[in-house]
Amino acid sequence: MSYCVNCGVELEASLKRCPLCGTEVINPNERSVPDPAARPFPSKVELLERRAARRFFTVMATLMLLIPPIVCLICDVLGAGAITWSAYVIGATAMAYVYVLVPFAAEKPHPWLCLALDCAVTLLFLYAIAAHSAGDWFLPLALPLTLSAAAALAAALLLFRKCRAKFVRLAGLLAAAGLLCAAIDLTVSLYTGRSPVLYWSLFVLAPCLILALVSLVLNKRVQFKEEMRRRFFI
Amino acid sequence: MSKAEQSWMRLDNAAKIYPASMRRDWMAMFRLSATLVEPVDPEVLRAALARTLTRFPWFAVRMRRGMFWYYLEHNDAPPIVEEDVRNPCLPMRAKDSRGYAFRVRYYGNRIAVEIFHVLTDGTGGLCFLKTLVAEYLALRYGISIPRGGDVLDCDDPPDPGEMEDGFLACAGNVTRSRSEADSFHLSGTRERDGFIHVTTGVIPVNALKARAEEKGVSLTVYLTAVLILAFDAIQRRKHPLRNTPRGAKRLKPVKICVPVNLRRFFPTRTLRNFANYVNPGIEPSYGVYTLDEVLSIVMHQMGMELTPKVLGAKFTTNVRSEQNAVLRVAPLFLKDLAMRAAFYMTGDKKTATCFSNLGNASLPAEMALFVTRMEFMLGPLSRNPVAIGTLSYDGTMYLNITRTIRESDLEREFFTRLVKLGVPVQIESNQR
Repeated sequence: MSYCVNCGVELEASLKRCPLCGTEVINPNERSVPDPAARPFPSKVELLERRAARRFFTVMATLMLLIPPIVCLICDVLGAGAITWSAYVIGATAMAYVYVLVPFAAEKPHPWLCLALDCAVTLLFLYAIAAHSAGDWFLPLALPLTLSAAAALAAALLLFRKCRAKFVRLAGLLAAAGLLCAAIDLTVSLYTGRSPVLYWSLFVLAPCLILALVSLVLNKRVQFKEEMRRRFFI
Repeated sequence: MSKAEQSWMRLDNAAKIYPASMRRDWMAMFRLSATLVEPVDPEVLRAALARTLTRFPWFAVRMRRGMFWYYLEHNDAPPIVEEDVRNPCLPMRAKDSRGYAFRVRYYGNRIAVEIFHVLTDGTGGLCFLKTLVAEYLALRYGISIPRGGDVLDCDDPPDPGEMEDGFLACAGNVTRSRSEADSFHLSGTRERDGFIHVTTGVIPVNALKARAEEKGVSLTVYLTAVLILAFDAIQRRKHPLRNTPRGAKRLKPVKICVPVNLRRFFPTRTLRNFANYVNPGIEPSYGVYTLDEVLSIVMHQMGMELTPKVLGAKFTTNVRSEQNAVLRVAPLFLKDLAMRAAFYMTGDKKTATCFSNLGNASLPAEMALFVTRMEFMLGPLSRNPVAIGTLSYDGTMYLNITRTIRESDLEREFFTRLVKLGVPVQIESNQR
């Protein structure tokens, strides 16, 4: 017979931790391992059927998503005699599939894997359009823009996984948004043949960085944070 | 009763909300169990259940959708008797239960019945369990158990009076508004896999009764008051900004839903749903309460509400909404939507938890020799993360707290308060 040192309640013999506070039960006088059959509940755990519904929905959604590309393909082939514009529809549907349904189908979607996959299919789709329409914009424009957007998203993801403080998260988001704008600005300047300096993005980057710094400073001031919470609670 | 009349029945007035409000991951379930002196024999239990069902035709049903209402259709399939699990009261799937809205489980010496609230309430469920255990003991040990009271005789034909809708039978003319303020709620981390934590407090009734009698209140009032104070303390601790003189205005009321067995107040023999509730509680924004103050508040609030007049007016409101002509002709899917919305807006919001005390379970002496323990457990509530059910048997109270979140603040706050008040508590749990 043991009592929880923290709660003062008597604990049933098979308990290893106090169910109320989680304190480990250490009774130097009772070293015998309790009989598992004497536990108040069996070890078998019933599971809610989440997977089945998820799988069912994924299959249904896949079938529904197949309808528009197939209809477009038929119209295209009947009209033009070859695959022309329907290629865009097929590509866009495939992208939507990877963006939405792949993370949904997975029980526990892996965020980094999803991000890498999304980035890859976006690049592939853009490359396909560029190749199909004989455009020269993939390497100088689409590739750097997609990669910088992915980098900004990756930075935000890392920040939200590592850091809990709201003000630090806000600072990181602001900085990432500002830097993404700068990257877009530079890429577009280079592509249009202008000198590689910041134009419009300066007006975004500067306030973003300043606000990020402000929120970093605010994060240090606990008292001020409390005051802000009091004033701006919703 | 003719065959045709037996083949299907309407849902009773209180049951109508349960099918409409159920979700894939939630159903209003509750569980009653009896622990015997020897391991349970599943084959004998199966035979006992088959006999018991002949006496309880409103259990031998499957729920069906009609054009306008759900209804219960007679079910001939052999009912399932299965091994118990660690996380009880999970929603039932018709295909796993052969259509039945209850399941019988066994583990070691224990027989447990988990019932979807659409069939009956705690009192009706307890009657079912007692009869099932009596049948089991009679078949297993060949003893003869005197029938009467809650232990029904399965050789008797079903009694139509036990199947009537007590609400319809006892409804008056005057209704009463249902509106009231929202209560404080616990919040916490939901278990990803839907695991339900069960913490059982085993309490000697004498010790508790002594404390309650000192204060001149009943056990239910005493425990409700301690529970209210536990929630109050948690709210003040979790929301330090509300717990300041200027922030106190934002402290939410703490109210507890206490189901009331209406059979005590109205002349009906029904064994289907016939319960209502009172929501005693305090306004923490007015200040910090002592136990004596809360005891007095709860006692008087319950005293004011627990009269046939008020209770009658309360359930008459529900009966009148059911009889509303527009609602009646609305197709079932529209009713479902409307009732789901109403349940979402009112249901669990008005109270912090539900505290259901089924009282003392007494058995005939012949049965009591074989039964060491009886328990009552509420399944999780729709939106409140904790629910509390209690039943006393043989001088011991078994108080079960079911919880869907990881944090055990309420259990700790509640049980340590009881210990501090001088009531010894033994804790059991289904912890992983």
